[in-house]
Amino acid sequence: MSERHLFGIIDDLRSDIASLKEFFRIARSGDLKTSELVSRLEYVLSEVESDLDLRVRLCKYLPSIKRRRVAYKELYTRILFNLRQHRQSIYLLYMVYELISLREKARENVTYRRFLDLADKYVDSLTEALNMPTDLLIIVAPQSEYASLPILSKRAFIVMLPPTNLAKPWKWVLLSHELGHLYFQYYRERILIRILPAIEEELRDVVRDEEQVKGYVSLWGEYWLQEIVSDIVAVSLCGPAYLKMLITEATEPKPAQVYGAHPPLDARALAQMTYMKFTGAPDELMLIMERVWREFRNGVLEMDSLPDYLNEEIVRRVSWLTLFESHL
Amino acid sequence: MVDFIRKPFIVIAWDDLKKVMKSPPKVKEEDLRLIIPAMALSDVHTGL
Repeated sequence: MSERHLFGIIDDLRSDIASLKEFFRIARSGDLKTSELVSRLEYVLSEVESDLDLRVRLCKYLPSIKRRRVAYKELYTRILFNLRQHRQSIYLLYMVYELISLREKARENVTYRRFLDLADKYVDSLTEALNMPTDLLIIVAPQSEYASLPILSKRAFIVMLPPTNLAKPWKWVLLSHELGHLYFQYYRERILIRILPAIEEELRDVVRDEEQVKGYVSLWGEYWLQEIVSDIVAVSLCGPAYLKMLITEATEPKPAQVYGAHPPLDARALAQMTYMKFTGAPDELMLIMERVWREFRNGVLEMDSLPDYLNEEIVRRVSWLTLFESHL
Repeated sequence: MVDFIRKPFIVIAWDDLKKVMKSPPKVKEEDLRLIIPAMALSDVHTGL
């Protein structure tokens, strides 16, 4: 038994923090949003650094309890858990650094800088329409695909879009789906408590095997519900424009197919149209949505219907229950 | 029961969005919530 490895990990983490501090110092720019994000992240680094000092003291205490083997191992393991959390924070901060770097790289070009400023402004105005907390820092960064990265402990949220879409503002409606993920993260418990039992009830009607029901409930809770709610948030902000751009971006020849985290496009479209109908959307809006979907769907060969565990009844019920989330 | 439902932004703003779709160049940057979906729906990709 030796504390050597723990000290080795702590030293390694400390040098990573020093590097990240330097990276962030370089990344800090005249741009207010980037600068604010860097400040919040530097604060995270300082917190980790302080906590590492505490871990060092605990490591130094370990030799005094070496004879009490169980107590020694318990503390040793607890320190390791804690250090692993710091390691994960550092990975996350590296990811954020990469995103900031790409953002700053794009901002070197006058045209892209203007588009990024507009995209920032656009997501801020959407966030306002969602009644999300005003101290949230939401920042747009280019990345390979539409995605989001929450850093909720520092009230920051990065939404990403492909660099090729920066100069195509009509596709920015897809950022509203990413804000939907933010909405879900904020109200996660409430949404799960309200909707997951209803999903389970529907599943029991169509899936006989109890283990399978549990498995599907878990997938709904982990992935599919979040995606459907994010689509509903997006359509509540952008209407048919969101469905239209989703069809473009998804480029989906098999709309009934389930791909891991994402429900089939058929289910996503159904959820959006059902939700909008329930809200009492104007007939014209509904007609456009239905036409947008029909024009695409009627051209696709696939005849498969949605799988039982993601069937139309479940999707409609999710849409109905989401309607009563008053923040939308 | 319906009183508990807050109308989605797009439902409230639908008439304004239609106006933007008809005359995008007159709209200022403050109306990005309308301009962006209007561009997507109308396939008119200029004016920003």
